[in-house]
Amino acid sequence: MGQRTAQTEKALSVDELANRREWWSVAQKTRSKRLDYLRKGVWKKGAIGGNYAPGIKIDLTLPQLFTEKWQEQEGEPIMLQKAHAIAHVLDNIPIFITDRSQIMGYIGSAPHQIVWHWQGISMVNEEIYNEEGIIPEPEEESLEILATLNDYWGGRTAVDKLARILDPEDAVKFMSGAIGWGTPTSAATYSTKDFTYIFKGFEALLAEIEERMEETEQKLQGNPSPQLLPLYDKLPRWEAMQIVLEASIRYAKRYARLARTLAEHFESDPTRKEELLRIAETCERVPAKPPRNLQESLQFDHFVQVLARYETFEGAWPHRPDYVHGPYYDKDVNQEKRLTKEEALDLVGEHLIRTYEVGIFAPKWAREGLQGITGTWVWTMGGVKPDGSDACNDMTIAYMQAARLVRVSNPTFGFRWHPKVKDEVLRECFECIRHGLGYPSMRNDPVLVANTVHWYGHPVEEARTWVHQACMSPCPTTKYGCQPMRMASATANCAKMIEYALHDGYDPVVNMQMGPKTGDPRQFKDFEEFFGAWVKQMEWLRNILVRTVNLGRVKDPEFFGRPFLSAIYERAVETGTDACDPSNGERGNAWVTGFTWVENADSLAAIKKFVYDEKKYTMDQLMEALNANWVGYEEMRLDFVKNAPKWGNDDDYVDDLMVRCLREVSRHAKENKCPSNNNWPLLPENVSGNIHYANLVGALPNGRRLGDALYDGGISPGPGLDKKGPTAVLKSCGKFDHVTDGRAFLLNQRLSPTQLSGEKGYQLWKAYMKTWADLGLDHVQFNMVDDATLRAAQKDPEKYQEVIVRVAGYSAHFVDISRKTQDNIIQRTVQGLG
Amino acid sequence: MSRRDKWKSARDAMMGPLARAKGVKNRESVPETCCGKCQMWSENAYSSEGRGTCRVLKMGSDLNSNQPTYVLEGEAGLISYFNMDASRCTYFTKMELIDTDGTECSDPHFRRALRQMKKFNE
Ligand code: SF4
Repeated sequence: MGQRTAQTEKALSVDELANRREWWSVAQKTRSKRLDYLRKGVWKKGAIGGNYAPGIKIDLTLPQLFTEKWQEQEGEPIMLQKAHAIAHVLDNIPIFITDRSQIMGYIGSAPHQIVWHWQGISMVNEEIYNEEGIIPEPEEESLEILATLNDYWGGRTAVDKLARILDPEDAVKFMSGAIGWGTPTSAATYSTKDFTYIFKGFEALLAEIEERMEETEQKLQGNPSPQLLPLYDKLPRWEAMQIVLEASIRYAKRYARLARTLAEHFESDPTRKEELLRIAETCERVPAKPPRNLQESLQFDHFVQVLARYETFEGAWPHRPDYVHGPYYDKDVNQEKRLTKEEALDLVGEHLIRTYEVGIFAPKWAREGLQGITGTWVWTMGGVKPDGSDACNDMTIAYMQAARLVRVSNPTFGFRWHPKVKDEVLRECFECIRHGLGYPSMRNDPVLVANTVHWYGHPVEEARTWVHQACMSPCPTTKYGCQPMRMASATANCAKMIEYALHDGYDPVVNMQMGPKTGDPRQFKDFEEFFGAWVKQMEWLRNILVRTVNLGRVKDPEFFGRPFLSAIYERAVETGTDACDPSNGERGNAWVTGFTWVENADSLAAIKKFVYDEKKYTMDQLMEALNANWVGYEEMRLDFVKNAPKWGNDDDYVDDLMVRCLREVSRHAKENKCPSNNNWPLLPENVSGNIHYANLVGALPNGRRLGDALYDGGISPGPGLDKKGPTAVLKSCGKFDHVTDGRAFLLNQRLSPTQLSGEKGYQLWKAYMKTWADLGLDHVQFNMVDDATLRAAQKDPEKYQEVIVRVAGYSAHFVDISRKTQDNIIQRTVQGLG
Repeated sequence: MSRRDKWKSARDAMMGPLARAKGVKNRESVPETCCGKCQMWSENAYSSEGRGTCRVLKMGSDLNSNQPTYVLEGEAGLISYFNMDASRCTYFTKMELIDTDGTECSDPHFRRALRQMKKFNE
């Protein structure tokens, strides 16, 4: 395939390219000139393996503007101090308009820059200083600026403050990086956004805040009482919200002015001139006032997302854009015929590209765990309305079509499948999968709505509004359902549960006594005793993560502050609180993300079978082999790999253990409580943490060695270990309850693109999806790119820039992930259907 | 020493020196023999600003005093930094930097040369 000459490549028609399944070339040939220009002009902000692409630089303007104002306002309540600093940034950050673009708003001051917020985490500030390649020229001058910033913020960041009050043992173990990842602060976070509230327009929100302030000031003039005292703290918070909302309107108007100036004084092309004037009109209108048409609604939406990222690092993008923008599409395209379908598709495609270009610096662990992307922008599509009726609309289809044209790896989509989804919409999902995008992932809506009600008690009408809070976890977009902060900072490296059960709680990799001393397994008399040790290690690991995040959450308003988010959160505006303050009525929607989970079931099964049931090996022999990292024990290792039962083969021996583990965790999930006094269920999924943790998890009884990639995660069987076909995988996964046994369960499947071509392919996939739904699974996602293409891309990456693969809870361009991750994807079993 | 005090010193070592580093000069200095070049050093997985743990020495070890102290028993490994002077550490074992450009993740040893370590690759 890589051998073709440039001449033959040129001559191939779209149909021929489609027959060859070269979907990336099909996209390039069929998208509009505008989309092609915008797509090719966008900078790649996701890391390639663990590093940023050449040319990507850290933005120094934003932190300098922020810090100079922050220092000037020293001594003010934090939310007010921060509001002034953000407003100063929004008023002064350089802005620009990309040729041919129609949607405005950018984070940073130049197109090749990524940003970071120095107020959050001093370790990351230092990492930026030490980072190769991203320091802007002249380097010496930039290093001076960075050192000055770091000297000021060192000891003053949100995480510095938190580390001082955490139990020191917890702080060291949490920050060892061995047991989990994430930062217990909203300095690295994401938030649900309720667009039914936000789309009232910022002027309406300002009026509401003003009203609350007047009402409160009146109360304060009354009889003094203890009840009045907390009101004094609310006033500066409301003032902070006002400052950022007003600055946001000014920020949009700067774009309006720029567009108008370009149109009136510089643009000679009459079509572009008209577009620029429309942009000016749009940015004068939103976000100050409610949107009236599709361009205004998309622009409003993008401004909100950009503004939120001027406040903090939002690492995910919980959103349901087809639901939010569908009515405006319908009005413009179907009713008033103001836009043609093609014009609308241009706007939708650009919406995807503008989102793809958002780049925020990610520390190395996050770059390794999310290779190729800048964050998990998983947008939710389809689903039902609060009354239970089908919510799919023309925008659902437009987004799927646009995704196939622009082929960005971020955002990706998660589709809320339900029994009433129309065939034409399902076909659009399948086309995206068939084109090798790896998305949408398919989510079982009835199961997840029930799950959302079960775990947190969200009312069913609210549960039905759910969006992917990050990669996988549903969260309602309602007043009390919205989640303002990343509560999944309790992200567990679950393989440590089994590793610690084997090593009496000691971590041989980081040289530290981590978990409780549960005893030397050589002394255990039976499997039950071993399993008891596993349960204790599991409880310990979850406890330390959850209590760290809980503390980070309640302290966030004091240590970090979110004036912008608070200003667009109805419950925060109503109560004069920080959006992250759990006392303002949030119902709670926390979960523990379970990386490297299946290793537990496979390892427990191997121990049970070989050590206790069959007594083929003693625990002493197993421990010796593990301590030697299986070196010198290859025959024994292969026995453990090949002959011990493995999850995903419809084998009750190991599947029962998986169910038993999940039920233990679910019991414990109800004992752990979040600050809203709600539960912490487990959500097994991985992003590319299986690669990040490869060097942090020692040898395991499933035959894995230190340094080998871990399984690709969630409840996906180990790569190449699911030998009994796709139905056996589904049957294993259907042996537990996807409502009550955890929060959600990621399942990766690789399908054969040859087998799934044409109408027959669609029907095969549809039948597979029926089995999946009947078995009550909540998630499945597909890779449908053949090995030959992937190997060719490894050899000749320049030619395959737009080949996308599903990594785990996200998709990435194949050429942007490390060799180890690429190999891990190629190793996954290709399942034949039917 | 109480449990709290014991872990407090580990935490202070972990959260300490780099946050207190002042100016460009301190940040740029990397001694010829440093922990970042030692096989016993594991880069911290939580943050990559140059913190790590020693796989041999435990907390309480001190390489800076005239007579270095080596503690080999204990619950927590010694927290050290890539640019910590290791010229007096008798356990120093030189490591080859096998992935100096950092595009491959998760090589078995410290695999990403921080910008300041570049001079050792040349
Ligand atoms: S130089 Fe000494 S203290 Fe540093 S990592 Fe090596 S053995 Fe440990």
